[in-house]
Amino acid sequence: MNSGSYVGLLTVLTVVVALSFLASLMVGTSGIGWPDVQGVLRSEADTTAALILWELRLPRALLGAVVGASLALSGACLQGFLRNPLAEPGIIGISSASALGAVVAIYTGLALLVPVALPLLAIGCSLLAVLALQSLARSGGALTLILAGVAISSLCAALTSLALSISPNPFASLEIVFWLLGSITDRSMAHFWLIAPFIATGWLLLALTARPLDALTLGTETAISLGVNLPRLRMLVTVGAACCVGAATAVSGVIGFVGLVVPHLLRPLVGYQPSRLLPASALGGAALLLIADVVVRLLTTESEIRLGVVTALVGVPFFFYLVIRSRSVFAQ
Amino acid sequence: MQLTAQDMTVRAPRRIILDRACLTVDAGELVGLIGPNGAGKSTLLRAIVGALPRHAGRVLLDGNPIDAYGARQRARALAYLPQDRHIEWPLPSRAVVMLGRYPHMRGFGPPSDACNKAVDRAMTAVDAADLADRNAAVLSGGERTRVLLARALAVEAPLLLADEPIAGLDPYHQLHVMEILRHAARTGTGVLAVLHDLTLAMRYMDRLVLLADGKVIANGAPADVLTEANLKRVYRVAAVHGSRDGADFVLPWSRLA
Amino acid sequence: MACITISLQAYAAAPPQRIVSMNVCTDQLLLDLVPHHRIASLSYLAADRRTSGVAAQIAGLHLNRGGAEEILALNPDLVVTGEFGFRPTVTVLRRLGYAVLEIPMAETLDDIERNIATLGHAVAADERASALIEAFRQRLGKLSYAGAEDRPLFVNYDANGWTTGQTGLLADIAHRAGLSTPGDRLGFAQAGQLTLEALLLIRPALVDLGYPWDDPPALASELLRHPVVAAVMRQARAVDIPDSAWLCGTPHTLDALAQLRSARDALIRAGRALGT
Repeated sequence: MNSGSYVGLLTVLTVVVALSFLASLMVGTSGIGWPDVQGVLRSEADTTAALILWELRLPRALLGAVVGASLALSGACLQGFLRNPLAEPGIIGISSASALGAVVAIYTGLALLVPVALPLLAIGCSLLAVLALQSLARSGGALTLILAGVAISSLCAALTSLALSISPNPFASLEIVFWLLGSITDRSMAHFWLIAPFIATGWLLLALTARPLDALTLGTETAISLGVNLPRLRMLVTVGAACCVGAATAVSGVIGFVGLVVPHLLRPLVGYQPSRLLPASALGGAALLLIADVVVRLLTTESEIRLGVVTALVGVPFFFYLVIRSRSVFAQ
Repeated sequence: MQLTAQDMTVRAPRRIILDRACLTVDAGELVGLIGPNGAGKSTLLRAIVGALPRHAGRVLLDGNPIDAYGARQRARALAYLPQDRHIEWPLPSRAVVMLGRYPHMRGFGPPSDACNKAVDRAMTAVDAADLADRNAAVLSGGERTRVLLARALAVEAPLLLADEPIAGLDPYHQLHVMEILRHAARTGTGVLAVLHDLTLAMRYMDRLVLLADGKVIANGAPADVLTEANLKRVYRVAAVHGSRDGADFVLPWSRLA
Repeated sequence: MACITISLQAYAAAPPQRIVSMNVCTDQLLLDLVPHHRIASLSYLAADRRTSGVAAQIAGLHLNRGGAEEILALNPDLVVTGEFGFRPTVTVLRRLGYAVLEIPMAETLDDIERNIATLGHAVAADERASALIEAFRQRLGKLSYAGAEDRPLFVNYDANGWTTGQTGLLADIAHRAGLSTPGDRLGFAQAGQLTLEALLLIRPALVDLGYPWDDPPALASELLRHPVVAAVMRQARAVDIPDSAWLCGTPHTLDALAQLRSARDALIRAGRALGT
């Protein structure tokens, strides 16, 4: 695909993200709509609408965009680097590990004393998971990698559940639902600012992998001969994904399938080129999560439908499709 | 640019793959690296390119150690076509060839005019201009090899290392690839190619390096290397020698005990 | 609605001397009715300062966790528990011939009077019970607001956004104090959850933030620290009613009524009757 249609794609995606962001600002239990948003922006509206907009809806929309972008971007990088179509933060265990770190930070009271402990512990656990993954799946193929990821993911989910069960706080064990299925309800701007530096760092590191991932298309030997520093690339992907996914999961819980679905859907549209897939995936992920969050609020039910449920309902059928399609590949 | 490999040694847990192998490739030379299966030919190429983490020995470019070169400089000096022809993503062929310009590109922008022209030249050289928009992953064996060879040529490096460039190709394409390599050498590139086909090796190569059990057994003109004695000792075959249009050729004929 | 179950099988003619209470609400009623030497054991929650208003008065008393074996070992002549006591334990005790009295949860202030009377009769302290009820009625009469003026909105906001409906003890207390509840405003009967947006929009005049639950914390406690809640607290008058005053219906529940009533009066005087 030529540069023209690629720029066109990015433009379309940006518009979709902007529209979903606006939609996210206008959906909520209180019926504040477009006229109210305009009023607030012109500083005419009363403080209640302004409070709802700035303190409730804005952080929610920002987090939706940033978490979605981070998950999709990490998925695209992991798929490009591991050359495995099933690689995504949820499946290979990074998300579950981040949740474990976050749970330890919050439920021991550490995050109350030192707020930055929350993203740091989440990222730390996430890094440990990636390192464990790499040593478990060192010379095995794609299948070994996925199996190792499943093992790590299960272990971390179990440890998270354990940590919540032994907390003296009576609400803790019920909150496993949040951590395993994700939500961005009732977050505040404080959450956003807390993770913003880590998300930005992660995005920067992952952006640097763009062109080396192109070179990896022809295998590691060709890439090395073209001047790609493979250990440095591994470090960029590892730390970048850990930062993004760790910080995002620390405030939103585990949200799966965004990192799987978005890169796959967009890859044909960017001509399969890994470097072009990165910005497109980030935009696509932001749009997907923002729209899912709007859906969550439009479907009013007794108790809140979790974001992870919506992304799973979209993602699992897609996963089935991938499995069926790969059968024909592996059958050869 | 001259490539010199000195005392290249690679060890595996239970055996020695390369044992102090040495060779030189000069600018404009077409050198063939031949030897039986398991002799260590691919390993030698990988070691020179830097794809093997643990090896002993020195690689010199125009007399300077290759370690003194940065990754980018090294990539611009040495182009490599590995044995593995796998293309991970179904990119259009032109995009695949453009990957060869990686050592010359900076930043995130679209390819420069110079890069586009280099890609055009490379694709013309391999006669693959009509494949530009086709999906590289579904090309036939001959087409894919030519596209990947164009990718290596697009680097426009003074040295080209090719590992079994004609493997799996039909006679037409085998001859075509050999002509492309010869043309590259004639225009100043130093080419080192691993070959199994002794007939083509004798016909096209300026010099042959014979590797067996990790050691260089012979290094010189094809007629001097592919002697009956060497063929018997190293390949365990008897060959028929012939000549046509002023060029000598050799044809492996029968196996020896 | 209210079922009072008294097992008459082994009901002694003499007043019970070894009374065991398995429920924090009956603990508190019991302490008001009989002297310590007649109490064999109270529930372990009697010592919990959040739920029990009598934590300071239980020195020297045995505390039980409600297990059948533990109760049997105490050799009680009367066991009192709440309406939602652990069914298997209650069944076992009854089957073994023990007298078990279940006191229903107080949903209104009138229920408190009735419970005092029932328990007082069961422990043979009828005079004391009558005196308590008389004092209760008098105090209630003084504290109740009977006028027809504005009813400022009182919101009790607990972890996870739980708040008061139209019915329930705290709702009854609020109504008697001349206040309205979120359940009145939004139309839900039992306790319900308020989203932060809803909390902002109903603009409460009086807010009681629930127990922070931050030692150690959970996500539930984070909600109470949200900037929106802080904004609501800036615009409303704060009141801090201890949970022990309304989790159980006891004479001390009127302390909560007193707090709410005086807060309402202060609001009306200051002219800040928002949300009405």
